[in-house]
Amino acid sequence: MNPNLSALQLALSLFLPRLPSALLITVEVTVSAGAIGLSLGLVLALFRLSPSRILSSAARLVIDIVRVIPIPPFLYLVYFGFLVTPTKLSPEMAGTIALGVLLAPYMAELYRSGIQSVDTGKVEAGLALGMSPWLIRTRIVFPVAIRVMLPAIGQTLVGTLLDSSFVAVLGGTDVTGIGRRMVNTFFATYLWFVIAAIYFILSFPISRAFSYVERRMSTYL
Amino acid sequence: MDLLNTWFSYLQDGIASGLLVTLETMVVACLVTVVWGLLVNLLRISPIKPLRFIAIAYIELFRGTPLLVQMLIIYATLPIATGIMLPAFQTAILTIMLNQGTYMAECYRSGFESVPVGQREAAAALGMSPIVEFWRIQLPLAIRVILPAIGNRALAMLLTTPFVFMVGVVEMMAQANKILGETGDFSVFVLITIIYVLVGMTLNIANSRFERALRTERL
Repeated sequence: MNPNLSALQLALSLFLPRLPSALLITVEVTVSAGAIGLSLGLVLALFRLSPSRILSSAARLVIDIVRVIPIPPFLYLVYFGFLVTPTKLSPEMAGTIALGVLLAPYMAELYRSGIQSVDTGKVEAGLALGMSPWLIRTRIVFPVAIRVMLPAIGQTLVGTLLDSSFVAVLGGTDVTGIGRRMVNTFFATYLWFVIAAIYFILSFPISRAFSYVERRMSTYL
Repeated sequence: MDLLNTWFSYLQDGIASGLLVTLETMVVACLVTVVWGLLVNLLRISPIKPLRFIAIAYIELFRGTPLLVQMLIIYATLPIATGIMLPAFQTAILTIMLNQGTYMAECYRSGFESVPVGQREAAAALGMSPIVEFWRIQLPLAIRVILPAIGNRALAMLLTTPFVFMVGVVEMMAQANKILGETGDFSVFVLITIIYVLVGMTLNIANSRFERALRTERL
């Protein structure tokens, strides 16, 4: 028998029982990083759209800088940086923070494009009718903006799901993490295909769902 | 300041040569991906159904899996499957090309879709052969959309180059790792983050200048 195949079987027998908890970790990291990115991004976007020149330019600078930071150096920075502090971070925590922070500028730009895509005529009509700023934001801006933003946010979150695999390099216990340990222990290189398939099964329905939503929504715009 | 002195010594210890490798990787990867993306796009819009299916399957597969996993798969299985023994740098470039080529294809697609259909119809009405029509009508109009898009993609590809240290390319991440192992000082990662930001901002500014230049010409 091909030695690689039996190594694969052995690795699978130890990989599959650990898969549910690893999947949970992967999803946790992705969702938490997404939440951080969405919130920080919202704050950034509000600064960026502020009428004050100073705040807007400062926000633009922050966005331009953080957008260009790659994941590996920043993840290592966060992880090893916190190692010297009393609160040591686990690789998954460091990954959540790093991915979330790096996600924020992209979300901010998406928020901005969504909000700016609203027809100002409609906003002015709302003002003319005496609508309060709150009403204008919730009834006019939000519905239109969300239709523009949602597909792109979905795409970005799928990207975060795939990027979460990098915490494995620091010893994380996500899908790639335990898979990597299995591959290295048993030399079962074909296990990588299984890991890739798992990510594909996770990401493909989500991106399909978002493009379906995008297609459905674009008919009503 | 003491920190700057440490950083200067790190630069000499290997970060500088790592930076060279990073830039090398980025330039080569960009060039290769620009060509590959065009091929992928041509396949994707091909009238031959099997070719189109292959292109779409390839795009969905490589977008639905992490770059890290792709790199490790190709690095581990390419020698076994095809007998080709590629060095680490070429393997990394190949993986980045396959991964980012799917996004680069979108640049070309948006470029060609931006050409008004009326122009193509007019060319056909005038009796232009498809090749002439492509070369004289579609290409000049599409290139104005394609080039800025490629510039933005190149900037995004800068973010993928640090991953190549996983397959053994000794770029800045690998050097920083080595220094971390020797000194246990994490500030080296602050240093390389700053360097990446400097490179990225330069690219970003170049992109905006380029986009602005293209736009004024149009007016």
